[in-house]
Amino acid sequence: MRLRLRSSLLGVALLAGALAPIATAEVACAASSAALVVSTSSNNYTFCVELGGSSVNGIQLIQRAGSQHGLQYKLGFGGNAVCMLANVGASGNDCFGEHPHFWGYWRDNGSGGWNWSGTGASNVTVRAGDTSGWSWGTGDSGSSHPPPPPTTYESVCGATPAPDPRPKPDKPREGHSDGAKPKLSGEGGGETVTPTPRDGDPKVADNAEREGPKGKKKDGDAKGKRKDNAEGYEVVAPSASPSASPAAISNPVGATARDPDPPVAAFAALGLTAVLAALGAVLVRRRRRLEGT
Amino acid sequence: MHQGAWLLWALSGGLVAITTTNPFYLLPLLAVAWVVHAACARPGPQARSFRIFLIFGALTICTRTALVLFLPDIQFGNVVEATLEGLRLAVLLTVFGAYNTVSDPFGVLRLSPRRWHEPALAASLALSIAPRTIEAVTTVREAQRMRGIEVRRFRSLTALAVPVLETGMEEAVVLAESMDARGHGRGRRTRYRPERWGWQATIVSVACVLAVGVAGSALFADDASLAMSAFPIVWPEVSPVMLLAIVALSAPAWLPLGSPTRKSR
Repeated sequence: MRLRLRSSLLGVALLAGALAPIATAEVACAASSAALVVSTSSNNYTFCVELGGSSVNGIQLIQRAGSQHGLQYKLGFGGNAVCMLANVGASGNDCFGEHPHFWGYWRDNGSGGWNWSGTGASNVTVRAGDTSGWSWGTGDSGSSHPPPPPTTYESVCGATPAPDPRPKPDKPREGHSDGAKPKLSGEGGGETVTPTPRDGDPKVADNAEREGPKGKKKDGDAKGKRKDNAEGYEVVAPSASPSASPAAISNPVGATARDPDPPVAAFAALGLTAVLAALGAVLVRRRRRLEGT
Repeated sequence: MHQGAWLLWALSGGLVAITTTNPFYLLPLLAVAWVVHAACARPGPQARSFRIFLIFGALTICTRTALVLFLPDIQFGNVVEATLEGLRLAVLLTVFGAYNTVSDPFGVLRLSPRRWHEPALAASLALSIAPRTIEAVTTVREAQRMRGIEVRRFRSLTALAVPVLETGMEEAVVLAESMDARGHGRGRRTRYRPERWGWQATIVSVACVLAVGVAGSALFADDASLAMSAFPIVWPEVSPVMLLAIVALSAPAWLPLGSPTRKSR
């Protein structure tokens, strides 16, 4: 009987092991990207998010912006609602904790303007070339909620959706930023493959991405393009030359990332688990011996 | 130990489990359930229900993880999140499995005030259905083996199901008759050998209340360590207070609860 139990446990473990790679397998397709605009009341951030050939929903777009560009976010209500973006919003599990302020979801109307999304972001399909916007404000409908600044896909992602020069990172890495430092992209998080515009492009030159981590300066420019290229590798997109100043990029939204080092307490918890499990095993063995005699 | 204390223990363990998806809380809780089962399980076939629940827990994790495949776009974070949610359910099941092995379902029934006797009876029957079924399966299998009937896993399922169901029916009838004979449902009821609330029960209850209090206050304070963020995957914070609260739930394992092996039913 015990043997059978073991074999079934083994089977379960094998099944789990077999499922995990399937689940994580991502098809590396030709690149495509969608633009994401996050508009807090004081700042405006734009992200060119690689979709990796697949279409995603509005929530996954945020998740990808998080893994590719270090956008800080917090989801709630089963991952279907947006509580916090760029450190603005409800910090708890109640996404409407700051009501009447909340994150409104907007979709592009094809010409730089915005349409209020009547559907929840998790039920919206975002395709390559789309622009999605989130704006923080009051108002329960498109007529009263403040839309993000007018933004076109081209202003965020360059002229056309460019092919991906590098394989897409298959998992989000930790350590997108450290503490309150502006993000200097040498370590960890710089796997983004945003096609970068030419040097001296006025759209880039006058945006506010060289500000400090707090993002105090008002960024009225909707074209605040973000580049997180790692030092040492430059993204070469067909329509763009490498960016000349990768180190000068701040990550105003990544200021609260945690220390990437494993906390001691986590290891303490694992050790505790091991000790308890061993004690349980000893107790069971002793009991068996007692019952056997 | 008093059945009420066990009930409180199971409730507390379950409550603490459902507040968190942090694996560094869930794994110690799993170990706590295992230790309590190891130290306090009552002898007999029902002690095996812990294993059964453990297997069900593993299946739960697999199922919850496999559900990720239905997402339109799978990221590693989705898988991690799903697995952790599965782990939470599995820990809940394991705590319940441990409760099944340490408690006496009809002892719980005796605790209920007379007015709530019927719902308590239903609840205790529902609580005890897993250990009773396991017990019945074991008995039937043994009987079949002794009679030279080959016990295969799947083919003999029908041959197993009928006697098991019949045993369940019989048990229900016997229970109803015995309750009738003892004057249940007639408004008078005496307590034969009422259980005593010992100092062990007090200590366990205090530990349980502390654990739930810590977990509950962390929940209402929006403690970030309760949920593990999977986008991006970072080491979750682990609060030592919460760890201590979880360890406190293992109190029944360290207290002298009398020798359960000598107690016969």
